[in-house]
Amino acid sequence: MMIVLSCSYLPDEEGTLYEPKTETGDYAIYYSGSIQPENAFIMIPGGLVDPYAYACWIRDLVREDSSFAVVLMKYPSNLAIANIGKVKKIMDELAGFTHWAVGGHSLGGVVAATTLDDNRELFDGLVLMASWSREAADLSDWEGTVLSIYASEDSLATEEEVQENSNFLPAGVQIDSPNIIPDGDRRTYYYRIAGGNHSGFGCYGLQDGDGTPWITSEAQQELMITVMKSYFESLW
Amino acid sequence: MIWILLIMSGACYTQDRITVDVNGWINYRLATGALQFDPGPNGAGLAVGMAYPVKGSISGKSSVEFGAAGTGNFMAFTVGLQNESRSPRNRLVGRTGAGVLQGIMLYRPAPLYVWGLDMTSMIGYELKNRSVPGMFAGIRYYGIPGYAKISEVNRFLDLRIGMIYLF
Repeated sequence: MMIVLSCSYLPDEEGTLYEPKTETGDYAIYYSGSIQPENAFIMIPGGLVDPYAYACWIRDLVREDSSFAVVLMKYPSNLAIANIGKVKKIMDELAGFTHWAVGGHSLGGVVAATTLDDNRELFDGLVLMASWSREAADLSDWEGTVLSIYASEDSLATEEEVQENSNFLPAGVQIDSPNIIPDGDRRTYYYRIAGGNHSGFGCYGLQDGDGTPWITSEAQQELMITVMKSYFESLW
Repeated sequence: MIWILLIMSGACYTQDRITVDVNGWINYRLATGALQFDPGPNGAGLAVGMAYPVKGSISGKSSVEFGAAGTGNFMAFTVGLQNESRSPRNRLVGRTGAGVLQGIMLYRPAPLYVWGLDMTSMIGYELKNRSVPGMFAGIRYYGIPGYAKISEVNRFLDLRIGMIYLF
């Protein structure tokens, strides 16, 4: 049982090496062009998901927008929850970036929200993918903006759970189009991907217990990329 | 220093019995790839092992391990040889050895092969019941060849520091 519970999901496109600009045992950095941008989005993988399972859409995200880099975090056991302080440590190490946003998928989103709550002054934005913040990291009075992306067929982080935990984020607004339009005091943008599921936020096949999607993971990730680009444009 | 002196002292001891040990450790990554300096915490592990007399102070060792290392969690089997030294006057026991590791990284949908080489030294204090609580430290170089399709960071050099109990 312990062995099964310890298995991580590998990228399903094994065989393809998405070459980052920089890579260490702790992170991989992706951006387009030859000059490192000033802005960086730190991406925290979901629990027991290999970080490179997100490289498929990160590559496309930075290819379409050269104004920011993505720092893909790596964790021992692929469990970010066991090392919440690591993001701050890596930020201190990567002094070349001046503006930061943090985000994550599933359990990685919880870690992202906790990291932000511990270092509120350091971040401009938060991106939650099939995730939420908790009472222990109540961000309802945080003055930054949040993008919360969730999927209708997600059985592991359901729409109901996203809504139930919305109290721990700044007041929000549902957006139907993946184009962010700043909306006064409502600083959390909820974007629902119809037909998507939990596993579609990465490229690692169907996760145990997840719902059956009726759009492809490529289609789900195209929507993610569009809304994230729009969000980062509103930030930086 | 005491540790090294004990091992070098020639206070060799003929291991006369099979010992079983339980040990746990933390990994501190020293390098990745072809020994590129890349320090940072790198997981932890647990093992159950045994040592059996071979000749004089030399004993064979083997263990079953479960832990986190490099790119994820693993299960592995190790075999090796070690030299045991004892200082009966102050009841210290020292062991230094080397081994090879063969195992699997625990991935879905299929595991990946992991191999490794390590050198470890331990020092412990023998209790009246002959059991020996102690500490150990060592280095381990290991690689996950199948992960090379995903990332260039697929080989690691770790410093391992842990606790051991010999029965």
